[in-house]
Amino acid sequence: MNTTNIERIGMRAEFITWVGNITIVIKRGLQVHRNNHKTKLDSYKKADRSRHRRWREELEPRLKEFRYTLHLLKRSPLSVAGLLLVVSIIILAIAAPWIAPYGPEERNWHATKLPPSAEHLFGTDSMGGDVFSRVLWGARLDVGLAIMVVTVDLLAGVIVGGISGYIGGKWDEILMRVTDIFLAFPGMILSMAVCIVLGKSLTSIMIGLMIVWWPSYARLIRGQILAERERLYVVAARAAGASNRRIVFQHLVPNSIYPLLVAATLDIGNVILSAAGLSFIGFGAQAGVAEWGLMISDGRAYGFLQGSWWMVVFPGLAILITALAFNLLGDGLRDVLDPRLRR
Amino acid sequence: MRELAKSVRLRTYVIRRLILAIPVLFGVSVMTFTLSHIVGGPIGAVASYVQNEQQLHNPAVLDLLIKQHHLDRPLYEQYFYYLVELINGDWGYSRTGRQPVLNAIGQYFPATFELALVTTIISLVVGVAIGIVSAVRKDRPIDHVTRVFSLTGVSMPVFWLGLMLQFMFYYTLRISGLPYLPSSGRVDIFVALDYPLQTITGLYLLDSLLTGNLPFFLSSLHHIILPSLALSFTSLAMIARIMRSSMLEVMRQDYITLARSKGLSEKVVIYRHALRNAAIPTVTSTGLMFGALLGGATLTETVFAWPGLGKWATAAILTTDIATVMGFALIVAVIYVTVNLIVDLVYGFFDPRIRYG
Amino acid sequence: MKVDEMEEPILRIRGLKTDFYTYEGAVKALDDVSFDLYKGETLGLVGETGCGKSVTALSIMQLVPEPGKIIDGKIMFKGKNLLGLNAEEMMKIRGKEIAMIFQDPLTYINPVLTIGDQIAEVIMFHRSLDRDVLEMKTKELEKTSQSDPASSKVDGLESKTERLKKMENPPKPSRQDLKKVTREKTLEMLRWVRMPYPEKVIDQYPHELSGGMRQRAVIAMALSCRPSLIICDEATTFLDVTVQAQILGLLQELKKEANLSVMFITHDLGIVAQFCDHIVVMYAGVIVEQTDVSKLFDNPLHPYTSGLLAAIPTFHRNKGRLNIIPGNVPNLINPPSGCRFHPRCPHAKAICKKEKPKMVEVIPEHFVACHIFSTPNEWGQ
Repeated sequence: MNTTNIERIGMRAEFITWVGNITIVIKRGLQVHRNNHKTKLDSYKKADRSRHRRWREELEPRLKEFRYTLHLLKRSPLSVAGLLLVVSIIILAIAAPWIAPYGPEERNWHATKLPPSAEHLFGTDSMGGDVFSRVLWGARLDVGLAIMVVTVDLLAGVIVGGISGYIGGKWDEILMRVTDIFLAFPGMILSMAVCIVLGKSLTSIMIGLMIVWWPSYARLIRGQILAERERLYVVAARAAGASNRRIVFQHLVPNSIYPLLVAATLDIGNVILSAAGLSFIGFGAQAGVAEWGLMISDGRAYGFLQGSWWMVVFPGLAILITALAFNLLGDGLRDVLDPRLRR
Repeated sequence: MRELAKSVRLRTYVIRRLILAIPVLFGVSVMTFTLSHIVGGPIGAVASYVQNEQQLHNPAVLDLLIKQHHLDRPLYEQYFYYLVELINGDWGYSRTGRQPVLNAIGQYFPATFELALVTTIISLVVGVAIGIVSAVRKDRPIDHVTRVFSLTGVSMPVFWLGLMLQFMFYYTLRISGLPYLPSSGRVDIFVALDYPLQTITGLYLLDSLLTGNLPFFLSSLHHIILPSLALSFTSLAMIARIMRSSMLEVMRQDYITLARSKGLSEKVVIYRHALRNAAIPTVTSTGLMFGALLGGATLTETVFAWPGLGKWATAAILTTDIATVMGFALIVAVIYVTVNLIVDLVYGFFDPRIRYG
Repeated sequence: MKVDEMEEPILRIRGLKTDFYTYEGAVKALDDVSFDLYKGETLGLVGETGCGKSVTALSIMQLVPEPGKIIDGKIMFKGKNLLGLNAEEMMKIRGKEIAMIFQDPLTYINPVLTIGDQIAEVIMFHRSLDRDVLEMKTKELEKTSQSDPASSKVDGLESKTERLKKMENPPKPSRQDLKKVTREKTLEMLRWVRMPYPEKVIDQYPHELSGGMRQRAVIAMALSCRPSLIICDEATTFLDVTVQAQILGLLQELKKEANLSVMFITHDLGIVAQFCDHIVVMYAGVIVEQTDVSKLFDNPLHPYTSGLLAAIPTFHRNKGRLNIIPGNVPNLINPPSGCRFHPRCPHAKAICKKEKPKMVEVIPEHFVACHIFSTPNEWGQ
């Protein structure tokens, strides 16, 4: 786990506004639309046309950039693949109750440890559960957990990092030491400790992982804000009289947010790996639950090295492909949005 | 005058980094202190000093231990004594290792170190090569292949890969009657009995070579292949990615154009000019990665029953042996901080701009 | 036509076309660029930022970055068409026959190698130093004979030195000897470019030097193999004015000492007036006027050139507004039809929109590409 933390920290992020642009496009569009409706009652045609023209003029460069982004995305086969995979996995996870032939904890004591067949696509495990169905059901648990963890951590990181970066000074130093401590502490141990305190379950590792992963987001956005803070447009905004809150939310955040988005996408994959690893050791889902890491652990204990490979291979492949999908998407996004690689 | 300023700048840089490291270590010790109280269970922090099950249920012994380690004092005083103990080398008693924690660390650390070292060497050599090739032939088929490969490496669940390798090289080979690779341990037990090793550094490969103990060397080599392959897959992928992106960045720089205008061959331009600049972030990342590996390739050690720190700590946490767990946390933090410092210094060594201010 | 009277020019470019293929379309950066550079002369390539001067230089060196491509044309260097050479042959020309100096010495030098290393590598790569090693050894022998006549090495000294001097194929020198000789040559180069404290600088890193010193180092790198042609791409733009003067003075002296031909790219007309013999004016990827310096400043023919010269602010006349050329530099993805200057030209006629003007010799040795002067005596071929 520390390896991926380090990779992210070790790289410096300098990116442009993409989400910021989209938000502004939508906001402006709505604004002008609202204004248009108001003036439609009076001098209709003339005012309308000039406003539309102005709106289109303002929007053009943003639309151009957006179209260019799509073009770049289309050109990179890996990102397209990643996007498709992610979408498919999420659809499969949501649709599991309808497409899985068996329930997640359905047991059939007469059909234990059967190799893959027509009836059981991925074979059965030591308790007769259908591996294929359990893999599908497991997607809901692992992917859902990862998305929750990353979302919460993103918010927490933005708040802490945002304060730290913008206010600076004493608070910045203190908060940075705190994040340093969290980063120095071995992540696995911390999550495991949380699990012991809260009792071993999937929820516990979710909370544990939330506690472990938030520091890197805080650092990331802090670094971004530090870089952006000194930019001329912020100085200009301040000179024009903008309040601190306005500066942070209208200028700094949109410009700094999307390396976070890239990191968040990549992290969903990494969190899935960590969660599966923790379950594998025995901290997460408890016996019987259809969770990928646990399935691998069971498979290992009940006959893997005696030849029953399917109990371990398929859940593992599921983890691999899911993590790969999110990594492909995140990587593609990063390449597309890095201003130095554009043009 | 400029010379004086330069050396002062370097020294202050180093000292500043050292000073910043100390509060981090303090903070970690606070965390371990707190956690050992919370996680200790019904008897609290004294569990760190209990040596076996009987003592756990023996009130007399527990009372003695509490008095010995000042656990009846208010919390902040306890922390003070805790720090003193840490500095003096009393990190508690590891029930899982059946020895004091520090001694256990001394026993298990070389195993983790050896694994981390071999893994890093493999990852570095292969990863750098892949990264360079991928960058030089950007957007051609080989680049796409290596990128998918790297991404797979980063997405790979290490424990699963370890299991797969075990299945392929231990089970299937064994079934077919072919020579197979062992699935656990550091060395074959019979070899260890027949050809005992003189321990110098604790690194089996090194010691057996130094003492000329060939059977031991071969057996250790045999045993380290699979776990290091499993581990290096991920590290390798990461190094390749970093190398690729820093190479791409460097190749776009102006001085590469100048180098080409000097009429130097493309090979010289890449290996002499580009690589030296691109190596800097790669080397520092590798250092950090090595530190992370030292911090416990927990999952791999569990899968391969490798007697290192990670396996020790995992076993301990499953049996609520807090002393071990906290000791592990502390040593990992120390390693992390040390490695970070060394990496910073190495960075200064490689980049003359930092060296001379 | 000067061509008949003088020898062949050392560099002759005809019809050079370079395009950049971007997402928004093909940028037609160079359109039918043609000019000559004669041996020993300094040619000034003048124009605004973005008119294609650097692209021309890079096209000559064939270092045009992606997504650019040279589409058409001939670049004859000493009679050989550079565009017909393969990569290996081009490598031999770069650095050895044609060298280039760039504008920003900070970003154009490798920060992690010493100055000495960066000069030495050019020397080692292009020159065969076997003879030089031999000379060094001979000198060493002679020195030992003078200082220590009784030494055993002196025996048969006469015959040894004779043999060494006569050697047709000197033996392959050892790495140590090569290094020593290269270091000697590097120091020589540094002294030649008047670098202060050359013995110290040779082991220093680029960031330890000032801008002017860095530019001298780059010049040393460029000249270390005595090229015949050196291209200076805005070599003084990033320097302070005083340092600029020093570097220009240095270039003048070196040009005389090494008998160089120089192509000096700049947007500063003052430098051109002082430094160059011949000027080529570029606008938006085409050449609009070429002639001697004095003829150009006395009698600018092309409307663009006269606009440029009129825009130079003078203190003693014209206390009103500054003169400008109205309009903007065109977008080269869709350059203006016909003459590329016509949207901004005060004398534009109907024909300027339709036809590209040809380069014509209006006055002897003064060539303009403008429809105002559509007379015979066509320049070119």
